[in-house]
Amino acid sequence: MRLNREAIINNILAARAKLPRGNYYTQKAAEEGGCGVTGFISSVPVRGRHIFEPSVQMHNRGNGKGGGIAAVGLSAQSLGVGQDVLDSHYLLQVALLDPNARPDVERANIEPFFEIHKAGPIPTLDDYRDIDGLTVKPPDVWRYFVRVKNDALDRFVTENGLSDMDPRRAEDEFVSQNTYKLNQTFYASLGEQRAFVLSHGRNLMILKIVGYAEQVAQYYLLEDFKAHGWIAHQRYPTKGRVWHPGGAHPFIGMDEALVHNGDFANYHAVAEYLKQNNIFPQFLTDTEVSVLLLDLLNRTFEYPIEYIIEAMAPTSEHDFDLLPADRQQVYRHIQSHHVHGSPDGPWFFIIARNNPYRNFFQLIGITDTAMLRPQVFALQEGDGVQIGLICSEKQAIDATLENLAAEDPRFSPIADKYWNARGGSATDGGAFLFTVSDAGKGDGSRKLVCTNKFGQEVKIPRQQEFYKHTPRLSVSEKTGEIASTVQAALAAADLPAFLKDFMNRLPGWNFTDLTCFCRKMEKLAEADAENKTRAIAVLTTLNDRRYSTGKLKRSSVLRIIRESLAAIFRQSPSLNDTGTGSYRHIDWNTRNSLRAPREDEKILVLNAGQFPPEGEDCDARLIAAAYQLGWRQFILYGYKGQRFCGCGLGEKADGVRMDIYDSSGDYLASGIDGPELVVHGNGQDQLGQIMKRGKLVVYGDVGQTFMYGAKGGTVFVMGNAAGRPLINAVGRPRVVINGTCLDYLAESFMAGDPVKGGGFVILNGMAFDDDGVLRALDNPYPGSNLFSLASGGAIYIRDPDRKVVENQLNGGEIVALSPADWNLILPYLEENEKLFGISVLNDLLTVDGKIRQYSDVYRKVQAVKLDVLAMESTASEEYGSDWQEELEHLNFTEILTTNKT
Amino acid sequence: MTVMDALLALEDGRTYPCRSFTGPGETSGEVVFNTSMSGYQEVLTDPSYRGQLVTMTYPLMGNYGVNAEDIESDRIQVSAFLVREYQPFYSNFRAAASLAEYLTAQNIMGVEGLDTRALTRHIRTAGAMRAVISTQDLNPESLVARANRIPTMAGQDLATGVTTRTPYYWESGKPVAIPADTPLNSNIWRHRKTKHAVAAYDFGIKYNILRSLESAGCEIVVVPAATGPDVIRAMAPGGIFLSNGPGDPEPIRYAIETIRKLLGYRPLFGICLGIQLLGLALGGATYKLKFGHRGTNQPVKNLLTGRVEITSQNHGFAVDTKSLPGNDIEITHINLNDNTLEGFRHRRLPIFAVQYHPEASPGPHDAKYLFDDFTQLMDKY
Repeated sequence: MRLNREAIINNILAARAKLPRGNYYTQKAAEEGGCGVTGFISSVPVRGRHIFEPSVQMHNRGNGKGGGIAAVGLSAQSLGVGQDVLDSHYLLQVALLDPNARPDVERANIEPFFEIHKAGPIPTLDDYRDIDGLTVKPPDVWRYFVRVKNDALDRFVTENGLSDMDPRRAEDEFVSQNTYKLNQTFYASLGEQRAFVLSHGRNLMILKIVGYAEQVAQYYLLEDFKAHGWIAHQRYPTKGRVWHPGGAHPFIGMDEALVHNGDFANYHAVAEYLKQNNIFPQFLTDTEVSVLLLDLLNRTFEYPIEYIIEAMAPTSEHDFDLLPADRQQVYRHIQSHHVHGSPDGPWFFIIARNNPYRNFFQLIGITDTAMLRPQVFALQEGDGVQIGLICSEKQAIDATLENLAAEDPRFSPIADKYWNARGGSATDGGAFLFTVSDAGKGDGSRKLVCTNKFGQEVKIPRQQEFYKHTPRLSVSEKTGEIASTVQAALAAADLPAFLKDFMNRLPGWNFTDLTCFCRKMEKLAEADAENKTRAIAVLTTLNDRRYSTGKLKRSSVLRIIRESLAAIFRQSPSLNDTGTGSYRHIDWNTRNSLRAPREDEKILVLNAGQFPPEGEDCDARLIAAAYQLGWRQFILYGYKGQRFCGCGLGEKADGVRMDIYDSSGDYLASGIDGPELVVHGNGQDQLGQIMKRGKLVVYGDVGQTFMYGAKGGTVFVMGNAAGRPLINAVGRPRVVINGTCLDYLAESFMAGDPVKGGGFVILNGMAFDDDGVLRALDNPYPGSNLFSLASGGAIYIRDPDRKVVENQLNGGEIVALSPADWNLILPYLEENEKLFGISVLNDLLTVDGKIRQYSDVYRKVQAVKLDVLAMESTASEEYGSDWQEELEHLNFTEILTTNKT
Repeated sequence: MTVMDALLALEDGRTYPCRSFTGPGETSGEVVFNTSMSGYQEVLTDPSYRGQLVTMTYPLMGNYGVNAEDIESDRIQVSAFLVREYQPFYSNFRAAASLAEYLTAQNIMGVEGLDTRALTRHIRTAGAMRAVISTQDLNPESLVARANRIPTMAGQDLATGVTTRTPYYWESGKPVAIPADTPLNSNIWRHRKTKHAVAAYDFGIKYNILRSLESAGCEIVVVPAATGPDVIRAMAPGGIFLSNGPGDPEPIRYAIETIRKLLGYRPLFGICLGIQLLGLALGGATYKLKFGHRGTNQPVKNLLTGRVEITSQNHGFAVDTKSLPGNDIEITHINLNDNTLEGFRHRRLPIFAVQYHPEASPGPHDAKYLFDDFTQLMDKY
């Protein structure tokens, strides 16, 4: 009788029980803070150097104490083997911490069991000290292409009762167990560690060192090595023992490499769960147990990926109720079986994976249910190529794309789509998978498809034309029309009027026409300051606003416009130069020339590109110094995630205006008191924290914990906010978010009574589609914990279909808008209309083509008396039964009297 | 809200520009800091702060307004309230008014825009200091000179100024006047059979001590600080409570004398100023701390149980541990920040006292057991 699946599982688990075991730890070796993780996968192989830029930018997320990279879908040629060997053989990489350990390792764990097709050291730089800042010599790595010897495999299968198992999967299990044994002998059991396995999967490799991630690529000469998918990790351990490359990410499953940003609250519980399945961690980090858990669910239990994700990040609360009944049934079983072993956040995983059985490579990003770590996904359809990216920071995605586009014109520096996952949700499941598989053209080419946890595809417009960047400029055939458009740009009474005109013309244009128009604007800007101001305003409007780009890709149109803007900014004379005009330029090289503005100098243009992301020499400090010297107007561009823009100006910094372009960084506008900041693109995380007063406009989305603890300010966001916006905000922040938020909007809000001067959030729940048309989202706020435990302020939510339910609140109540409420928010919606072109009447108040009453469209969420406090009087709050019961009574009197002499 | 420039001047010459959020004003006193994150209304109304300019190390104040319930006496006691940032838009369903309105109505200055942590660090280094704050005189030199002319806390009998003029009952969470012609004798008690009769000396008592005693099953008659021992003996209470209060214990000679005459008569329980007066009555000495203990996060070790309690405190003076004569006094509690005395008991007589505030308000309830210990002690005697 053939064994059923369950019997095979039991036999696999029993086989693992026989493995040698050292001391069993349920304590992890190190706590980890906010690490930097990044990954991308493309339909075509790309060089390892492209994982650099984002890694360098995220140095401040690591401390150089552990970096690593993994690559999947490798180049057979570069590895010196045939494609068949690469596909079929295990790529075993052993790190030799002790260079003399190799003979012992080979004698004990390799030669007796493996047919070795090819073996040799991984080439490296001659001297690791040639790499700036690398202080610990990376391990020598020996690479083997192996298959398990037939006799060894037969013995393994017979001894463990695995004969009814697919022999290839049994071979996987052998390799996995052999790695465990090798690590146990040469790593985990020793005080002085000698060697460990970096990776052993097929067509997948991992390398890691004590240092930064990019130094891995530099040292092991991977800069020009090509692979479909790459992931990298900067480790930031906050405490722990001596650092060694074994503790760095990524960690290996079987054919999966996993990197992780976060710090489990329940390492012990997960380790215990693994122990029940005879799996014993050897490196004692969160990341190792994560990948062991993934491997167990994947290879032993053979769960489909959707169920693996559910087992790791369970769907909860309101979202569970929204799942279809059949899914609820399955998920309920998964949760009851796995919730005790599921990692409790914060965590965010990026997994690079090869599936040799179904012949695809995959990049997966999974966020924990509570979304406690930042995460951004992006997708780009280039010129016949696709790329998917997952990072801790949006700027890291942009850095990768910029780098790629500079080398390969099939890519663009701007993605077609950027988004966040909503952890444990019914909408996307908190996970996205980029799958690279055969394109089916018979030529070996591959295609990339992005799906969410539920298998629904993330779509981007595919029919539009991609702009292939060429250094030489072709001549437009529409010179007359372009000249008249430039005239219109100069003459238009206001920019919205020009935008209308431009939108009518654009559908007839090709990239050459658009480029010519932009070059004309650049030329114009050279003429005088007035024209320059106009040109900047025109191009900025084209950059900021949403409109149909016709047959052209929006990301390509943006690229052309942004390049022209940067060119205009760069034209401004440096502070050292002679010459007049109101614009003055400063950058990293000329930073020491900072001085007070003279005569009619008004606008300081700063290229932030080469500045460090934070610290003494960062651009934010230079800006603050310029402000002290009297500068009030700033154009800030070239950002690559530099943090704290606009911070540090001090109290009452009124009259300051900053226009911020490109990939601005975390904490922008935090703590500001008075200035006006305009972000011409997406913002990153922690914008406007503890903001006090002033104005912030974001022509895009904002990231995690937006306006945490803010006390005031007027803020307009064209798109979405990620998780936890406005938590613990107090006083009078007044915010319009035109999209939606992931969760916990305005938790513990304490913004007084909005109609008496307090604060509020307007949530419009709308988004522009690919044609620039504003549409209502399926649900203005799909998550839970809306206005949770808030005691003041209000949320005005556009919800004509009454999609938001009391169930999503936690302590608030939904009420109708009063005329006073509408009078309060209307001016903000009008300003919102001016900024983003979102019409109060035609967009916001129009539902299904009909204009409706504000009270039919908007609903108000406000604070209620909190039961927990209101139930009891002040006296019983002070002496409530709850704490009294908890308090162990210490009988002081008894001690007093018994000790009496 | 009228915002006006103001200046704080310390006696050692330091000045801090700030802004009044309660309109024009001028006041003086000793500057002390409090490390509580919340509970500003309790702090403002705590009589132990009488005559002091209180600054909060936590940077945001006013965000939950004020209400009628969270008061510790019948008025604001501090001379001025100095904060980093005042939040005018308050959020709390219990709130009845803003902090600024509350201060303004009682003519107490509130100032913001002060780097309260810098001020605190300075006080920690240089010690508690006399200061003047003004919206009228913004001249640093003249204001510093004036700060040097105000009397120091040491040697002042402040309790006499804050104590109740007439005795009253504490009943159902509020004071109830005792008619003027009612003699203070053993007939004063109306629930003698069911409750512990406690005569509570008011040297500046916090309402929450009275709430705590009531909650522990006591009937309380609050008596003025100057009530003599004969009156107490005539009342024949089950126990005597010695309250907290402002300032220096030494000048309150009459109270020390009274307590000395009551030692051993009935169980005695003292809190804060109460322990200092007891210490002096038992022959010990008190001294002024460099910068006092004020906040809701002071760690205290109970030496009898080994347990650490996180306590609420507010005092600028302390009993000198070494000064307590003989072997009769046992140290029961110490402060883990600076090892100063936080509690003692008498080995033979039913007397115990703590320097910190077991009644909290604001603060943690770790030490609430002391009120039950008091009633149990009364049961035994």
